[in-house]
Amino acid sequence: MSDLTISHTLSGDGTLLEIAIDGRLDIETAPELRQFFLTHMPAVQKVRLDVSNLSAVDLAGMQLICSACRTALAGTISFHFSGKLGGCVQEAIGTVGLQRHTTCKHNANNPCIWCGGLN
Amino acid sequence: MAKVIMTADDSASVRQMVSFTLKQNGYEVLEAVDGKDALTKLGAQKVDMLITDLNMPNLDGIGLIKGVRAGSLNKFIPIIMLTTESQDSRKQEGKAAGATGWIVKPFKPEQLIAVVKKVLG
Amino acid sequence: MMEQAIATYREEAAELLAELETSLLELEEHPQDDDLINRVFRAMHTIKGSGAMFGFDDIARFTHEVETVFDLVRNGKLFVTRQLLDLTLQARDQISAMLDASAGGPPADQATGQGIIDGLQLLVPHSGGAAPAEKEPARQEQPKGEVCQRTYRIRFRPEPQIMLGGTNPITLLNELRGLGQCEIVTHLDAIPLLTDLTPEHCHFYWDIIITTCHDLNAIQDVFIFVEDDCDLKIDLINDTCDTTSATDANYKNLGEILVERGDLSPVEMQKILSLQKRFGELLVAQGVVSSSKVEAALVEQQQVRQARQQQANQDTALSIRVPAERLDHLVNLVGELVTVQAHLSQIASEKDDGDIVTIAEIVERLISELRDTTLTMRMLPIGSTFSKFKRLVRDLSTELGKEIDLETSGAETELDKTVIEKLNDPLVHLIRNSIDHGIELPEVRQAAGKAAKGTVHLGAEHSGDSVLVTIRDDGAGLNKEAIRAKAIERGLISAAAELSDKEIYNLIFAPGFSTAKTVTSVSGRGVGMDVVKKAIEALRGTIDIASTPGHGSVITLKIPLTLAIIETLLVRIADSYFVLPLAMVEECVELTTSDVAASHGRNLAQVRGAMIPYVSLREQFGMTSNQPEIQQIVIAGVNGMRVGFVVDDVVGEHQTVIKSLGKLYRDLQGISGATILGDGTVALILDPSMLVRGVEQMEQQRSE
Repeated sequence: MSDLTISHTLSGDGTLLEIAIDGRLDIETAPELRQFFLTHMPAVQKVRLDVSNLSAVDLAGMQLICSACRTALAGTISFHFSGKLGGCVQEAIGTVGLQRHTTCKHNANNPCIWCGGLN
Repeated sequence: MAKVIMTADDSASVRQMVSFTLKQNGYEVLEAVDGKDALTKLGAQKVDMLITDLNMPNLDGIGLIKGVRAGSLNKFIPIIMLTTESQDSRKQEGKAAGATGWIVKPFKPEQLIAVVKKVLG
Repeated sequence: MMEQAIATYREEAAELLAELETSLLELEEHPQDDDLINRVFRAMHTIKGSGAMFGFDDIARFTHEVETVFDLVRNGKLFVTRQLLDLTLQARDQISAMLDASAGGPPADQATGQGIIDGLQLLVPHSGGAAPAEKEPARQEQPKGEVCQRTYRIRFRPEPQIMLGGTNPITLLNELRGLGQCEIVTHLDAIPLLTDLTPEHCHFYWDIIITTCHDLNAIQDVFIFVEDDCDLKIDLINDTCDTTSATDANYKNLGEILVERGDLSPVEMQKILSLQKRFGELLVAQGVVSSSKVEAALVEQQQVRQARQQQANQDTALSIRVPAERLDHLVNLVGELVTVQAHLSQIASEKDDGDIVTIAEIVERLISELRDTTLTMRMLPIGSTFSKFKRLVRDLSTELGKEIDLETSGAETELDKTVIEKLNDPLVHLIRNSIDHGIELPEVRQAAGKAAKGTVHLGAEHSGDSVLVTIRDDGAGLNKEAIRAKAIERGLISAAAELSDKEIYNLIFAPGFSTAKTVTSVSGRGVGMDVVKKAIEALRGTIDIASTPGHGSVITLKIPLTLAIIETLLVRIADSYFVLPLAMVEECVELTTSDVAASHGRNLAQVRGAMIPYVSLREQFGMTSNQPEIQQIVIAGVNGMRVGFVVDDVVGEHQTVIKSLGKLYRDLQGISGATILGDGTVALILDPSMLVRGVEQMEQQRSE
């Protein structure tokens, strides 16, 4: 049984992938999301990830999304977040110590779109 | 929701002491009388942490730790082993098998709680 | 409980001793049987381990010696001999005797015990000394009496596999946070692309600057379980107890820190320094050091400077307790000062003397800062009030058979102490109302497709110079028809009245209004909402209702931050001055005599197409002097309605120190206090909502 639900829709022209994840994103479920990104991301031009329904996220989860984000940027796929950052994500930003992580070299030293948006 | 901790020890008195101390501090406790019993129970129920003795009949602590890390349900939980001062090599062995930390016997209830808090956060 | 565990131990030890005996006897027949050797070892190990836990130190010590010998047997370093078995059996009897002794039996003979141990030692080939003392985890270092603040720099880089061993690095960071003031910078540069990522590995690493009164041991203890599983570097970088270290608040510059950490070589540093720009920006721009590394070094610089600064003011305690009256007195004095300052500014502008104007401006700035500081001293977080409501919600919902969660947000929002106290009763009323009238019974909710459990949300947030307190529920919402019907029945409105939703909702604030079908013990006595409204208005606040049928309602209280000093608009009628709370004022427009004539005595002004009712304060206060040709209408938002107040002249914004009027004037309608202007003139503080209500009542009486 998995505690993470990944739902997605692909736009008509196949360029935009919208993903909504729901439940727990942690060391146990992160591999599933990684596999999902690896399978679906290379074929599209835009990814929009909705994390507002996550109920828990740990270090492995934060790390995975960071990796997915930089992978997308490296492949010139635009990567964005929709919905708001849920309480658990904001808490994880605090506990992992990411409040100070403002800019990202993978994003041309612009603010980190994952956790720098709060700053 | 209270966190669930399993105590695996063949000594009923130690189990009783560990279990009582944990319950007093708001944890739920699952007891196992040896490694084999523990591994069977951990295959069926998700827990938040395991506290295990090293010397137990049927399956010893090292075997139990390896078994949990190789399983799926409780693969990533913190595991604390109870050791005695004479067992430095066993401590290394336990760490290599996948133990998170240890408590040296004899220990006081507050030491137990300090270690539980340390690994459970 | 411990007694029970001790009793269990006795029983357990007796069983183990019996097992030990059987095993030893079997071992005599099968001296090579590993399983038997293990059983003997384990039995003794448990007797020792558990014995020590329950205070049987002598048994533990004695058994330890025997166990040590059997450990050698187990590892094949010693063979089972008749002599060994004899001694071990004697040892078994000795342990049994010690156990009996502890239960009140005759004391065990110590000489016998020592004899057994000596005999066993002889069997051991070359017995080494005692095992070296080991570090114990979980031993908390007690902070010393002295208040030394040490700052450490920690680079914590776990092995990627660390989480596979059940370690969550976050708990370690949290433990550090518990030891002292921590600044944590997380490095993400080691996080690989998805294809190379093992999600269960940890690729984060951290630079932590911690200022703590604990010593190095305490910090090392945090990492005791993982010291073999990580790169850990802990450096003492500042020690306020060490008088030889620099005591000025300056600290190393950025380059020195990075070189010390090994993130930058001295040669690279010189190269960059020769470029003469801001060092950190240059490093990043040149790609020599990543931005997070520079950030980490900056954090260190800042924290050490701070710690040294604090050291400089060390004797100053962190907080002091002051009686509330003394603070109130201070606020009053500041109020007087604001008044005097207004006078000074006025004189300065009249005299047109540059020097005085300058001084007046400086005084003005200082006093405004003094005022803000003084007022914040009386500020308390509203959270203390919030927590009280948890219990209220729990009790009431149980009583009514409803399932309700109370959520809160913004508990840290600060408000004047007096305001918080006066807010308590209205909030109790409003929350009761939400629980009683708002949230439906679980069956009803489920039938409507909602979760059985309802939610009442209590929130606070800052909004300009006010605090917004909201009480939101996901219940049925207000029933417009029921409110309307009740209002007609009570004679509050005529059956033909056409009212907006907002106006209908506002009817529930009318005295003696209650729509609950059954009167419950919780609310429904019909004394609630008008009392709430009065209390909120007494705080110079406003109350607003929004509701969506089937989805719940939101009540928003807008409360000024403080009661002592407010921003106002100063107006004049003839030679009297009045002030209106600026927060309520929306705009000012002119009113000419021809406008008045055109409205045929209906007191309605046309402002950009909208008809706005106005109150002539001149008439209201019975002032008979001649009104000027052009008057001003100050338009204010009152209860969600725009109402104009006609005055002769609008003077401008004014900082108003509120003075309450004496008891004699307690029942005065429309005036909530007074203030003193810079030249000593008294101005009355107008209460727009009371004024409007007064006019409405007069209209009603006239029409009846």
